[in-house]
Amino acid sequence: MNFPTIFDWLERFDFLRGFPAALAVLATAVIIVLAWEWRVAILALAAQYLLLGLLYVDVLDPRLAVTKVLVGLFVCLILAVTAGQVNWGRLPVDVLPEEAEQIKAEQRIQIGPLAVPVSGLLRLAAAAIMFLVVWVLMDRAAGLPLLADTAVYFELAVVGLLAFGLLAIAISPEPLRMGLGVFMFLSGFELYFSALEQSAAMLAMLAMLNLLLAVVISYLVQRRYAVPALLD
Amino acid sequence: MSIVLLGPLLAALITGFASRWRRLTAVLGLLAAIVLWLLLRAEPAISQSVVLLSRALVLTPGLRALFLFLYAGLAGLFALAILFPQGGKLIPASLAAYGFLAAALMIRPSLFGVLFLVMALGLLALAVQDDRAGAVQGGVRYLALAVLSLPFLLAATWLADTQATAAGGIVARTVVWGGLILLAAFPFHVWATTVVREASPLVWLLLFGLVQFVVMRFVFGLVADGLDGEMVRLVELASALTLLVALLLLLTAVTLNRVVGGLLLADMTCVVLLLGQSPAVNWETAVIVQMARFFSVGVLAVGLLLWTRFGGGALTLAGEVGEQPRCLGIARRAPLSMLVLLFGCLSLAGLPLTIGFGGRWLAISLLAAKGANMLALLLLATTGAGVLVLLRALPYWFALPDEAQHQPGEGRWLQVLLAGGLLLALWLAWQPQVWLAYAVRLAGLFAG
Repeated sequence: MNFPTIFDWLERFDFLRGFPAALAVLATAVIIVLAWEWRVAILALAAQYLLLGLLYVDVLDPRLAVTKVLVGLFVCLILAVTAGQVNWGRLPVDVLPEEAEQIKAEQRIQIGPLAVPVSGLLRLAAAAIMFLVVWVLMDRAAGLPLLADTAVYFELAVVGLLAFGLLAIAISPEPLRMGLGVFMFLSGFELYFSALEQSAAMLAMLAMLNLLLAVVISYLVQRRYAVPALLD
Repeated sequence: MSIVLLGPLLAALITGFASRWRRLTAVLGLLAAIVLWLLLRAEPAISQSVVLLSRALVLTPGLRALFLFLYAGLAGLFALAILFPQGGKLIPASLAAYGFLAAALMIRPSLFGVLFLVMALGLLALAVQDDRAGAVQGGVRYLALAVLSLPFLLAATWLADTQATAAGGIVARTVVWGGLILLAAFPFHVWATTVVREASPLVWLLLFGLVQFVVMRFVFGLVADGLDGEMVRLVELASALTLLVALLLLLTAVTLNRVVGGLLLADMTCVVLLLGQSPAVNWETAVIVQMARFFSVGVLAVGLLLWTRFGGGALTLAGEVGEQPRCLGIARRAPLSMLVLLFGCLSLAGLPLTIGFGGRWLAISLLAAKGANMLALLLLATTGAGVLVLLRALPYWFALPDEAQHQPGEGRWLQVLLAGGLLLALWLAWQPQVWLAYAVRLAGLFAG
């Protein structure tokens, strides 16, 4: 039995290429902005990187495109390990709520079976507004700058990722969620820039940048949830 | 040549391992900075290039002179870190960032330089956070805005590298946005005010006094042909709004950090405004402003670190944290620390007879000559507001302290040292040609 190659996987998921991939990427971006549970947000980011691979193959050699996907998955792994080390943003098991000054349980509203944080509703409103902004930009813009005749789904993915990445950066004071916004924003830009510059050297440099940012963001998350900070 | 790239990274590794012992880390960092400065000075003073990973690295005389200044500044910063121990990340992160900054400036095509620049700024987010548990906002915002600037700078350098003469106007338009972000113009000024609020004064010296040289070099290098009318108006609008924010910060300040935030924003706006000036004068004036800022923030950092050691921080009773008014009468027990702090603040404000006056006056003159009187007035207003807020604090600082409070005072040896340092700073202020000549020569090395 032979292990499937990149081309086998592409053939298998060919039905997702084009608009389905772009819409799915947009959906993962919305999930990342809305999700209050870190595990869901990181999983959505991982799914986003996998779906972006299907868009990258439209502008890059598949062997280079898969590198983008692998780098993205490594970034998600770094973030997941870090999030696990800080107990997914919750209090450590040996710290009592009365002791922790910095982390207070957020107010929640019961909507059906779900206890939704109040900030979740604000995020929903912000995401809806951003969705409208993306819609208007797609409607009015004459394509992406410096790129002639790009497919509409490609533009949708780029604009959507840039917009929702910016939104996540702007509305998230917390380092992990801001970091997810940074990676979304970067993904949108890298997707666009891959259509301009396809060299392996640029791909390697961008991969290095992504991994470095993952390490820095992980460090900031660790310091945010360091026990002295929780108790101070 | 490789020592410029790999030397700082190796030094960062060594100091990173020793980071548990703060003073030792600072000593190792200082030694590394001195050794790197000496090795760089020994490099031949001719343009040379080597190939690394299929990319050319060029060390021009201008870059060499800039690196020598940056390493000298870093050595000074690490020397201060021995006296005022910082967290465990400032020194390793600074050294590692210097390696990436060197790559950013030397690599050709400059497309890759942008990526190295953003990597360096990302590493500096570690220096901003500097192992202080819970205080991450400064690092987070600095990192986010550095990444936000990447698309503009990368697109601009791609255009400059691939389409050269045909794309001059678009390159300038694109790079202005990246420049506004990294030079903390409105609405991207939030990273600067947060860093000032959270980080140590030595981090201010690093980011605003040293690293900004490299950022400036990048941005001004890409707008070498000047900006068109629309972009000049954008720069002026962003600058005006930034100055208004600075004014607001100064007039509502109750803590020293807020005052410094306002003064720094105003000073950085001088550099932003120079983007809209003619290429014949903008780079030279920007270097003068930046160098004046380095000296001003250096003096301010020493003053504030000492000030904090003697319990100070607030401007008035309203700004005090906790029950005990720590700043009440602080000027009586730490007069020379107060003088050093005041001199640094007034220098950053650009007051006459201080180090910062030369650069500020040049910027205002250029604006007035161009007819941008409102901007010149706003700059003057920030100077005035800075002086006003400090004068307002003096009665509180000079008030008679409560006899029951036992707070430390300056030792005699410290007063002698500070007096010597103040005299040196005053001499630099009254003999500006000493450092102005160096600044003009440094700027000139990049011309052409």
